[in-house]
Amino acid sequence: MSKPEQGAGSEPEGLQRLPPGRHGLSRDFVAQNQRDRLAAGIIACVAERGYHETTITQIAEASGVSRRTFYGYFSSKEECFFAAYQLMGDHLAEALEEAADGEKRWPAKVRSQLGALLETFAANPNLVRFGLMAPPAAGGEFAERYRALLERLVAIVSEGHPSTRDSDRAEAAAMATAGGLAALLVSKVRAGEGEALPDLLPELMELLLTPYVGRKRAVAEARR
Amino acid sequence: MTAPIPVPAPPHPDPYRDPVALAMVDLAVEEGYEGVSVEALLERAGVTREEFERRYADKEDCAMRVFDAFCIDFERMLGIAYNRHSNWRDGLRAAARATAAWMLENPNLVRFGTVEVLAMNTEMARVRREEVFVYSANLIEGGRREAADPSSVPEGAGIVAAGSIGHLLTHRMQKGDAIDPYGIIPEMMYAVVRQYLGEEIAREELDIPPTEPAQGT
Repeated sequence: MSKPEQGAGSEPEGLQRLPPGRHGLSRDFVAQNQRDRLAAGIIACVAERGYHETTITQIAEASGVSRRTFYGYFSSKEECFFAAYQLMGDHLAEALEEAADGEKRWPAKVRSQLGALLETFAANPNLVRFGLMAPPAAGGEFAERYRALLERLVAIVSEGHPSTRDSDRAEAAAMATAGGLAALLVSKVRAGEGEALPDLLPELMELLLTPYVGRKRAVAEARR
Repeated sequence: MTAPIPVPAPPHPDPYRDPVALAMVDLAVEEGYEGVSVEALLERAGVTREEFERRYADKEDCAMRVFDAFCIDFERMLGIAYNRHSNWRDGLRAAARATAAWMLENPNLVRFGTVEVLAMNTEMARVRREEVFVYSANLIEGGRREAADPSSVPEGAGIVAAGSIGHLLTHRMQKGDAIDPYGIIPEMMYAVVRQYLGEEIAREELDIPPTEPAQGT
């Protein structure tokens, strides 16, 4: 997924508008470019206004495409939202998988992955607003997709965890903790502290490791 | 010794004695908030349009004020139960038990406040939900005063704990799963106490019965 734009109405960073008229670009390239722009556009609009207050006209304008082009890809705002949400989820999952490369110790792997996640969100706090704030507030299918995203990310980070005598409890605790960590990220972004999210790494490590390795060891690992 | 938490003044009018408030909650759960009409409200509550319009501007105004009244009541319930104890763990456990009892006594209200009110799509509703969340997080943060080394407790521990509990309950409610609000207390207490007072003390919570003892909390 191309890097999303910072604000609604501005040209999406890294997503150049296609030249007008005949340009010799392949149909596939054009389609991908426009899909990326629409994803970036809805992320920026929802981050600024919330899902229900965002209109298709606003999404099209922020994406630098026409309403007609919007409807060429999506039949509704909801469909566009879910497509962008899937893209964002894939992007985050990919970042976590790449961060785990080469890490042999599970706590070190968690450190790299949480670090990558926080850097991604700090670079674009709109992803927190779009991905973690808007869906729970919208309820229904949106909240379901949000929970599925958290489960997906927790599964990637938890992979390779040491087995414990309380594995079931640890897994349930990790999932509940993910909801709590999301609440912490949201509170920081709401307070205008999005750029400082990477400073939370030791704290997040401690909270996520504790169910698996106990608090004492989690604190030690977080402070390494 | 833990510090008492501020308790808001009672809501006025008392939502449990307000037929319009009760009708709004029940109809929103039965029909979904979008499906509630003022006509249906009037019929269910047994009030005239004039009586309704004397107090509320429209359906949204009514829903928002009903929601606000119940939020105040929820915070009062938490704060009063918590403040009965000078020890943070006992206060927190009492607040959890009070919440469990309240959830079992008012299933429609719980669903209205956590699921149906989302359909209101208003900034005021979002802000009010956030305020209840912060109140709960502050209550949990009382544990920092009793920690052996308060600076070693993660800065956002209260927010994470409140967020975790909220996530767990909302997730199950939105899925339509049955919730045993008393049954989850020991695990919740264990997870929260562990952050502030350590593993050894936290494990004690797993052996404490979730329901109140017969002679009171």
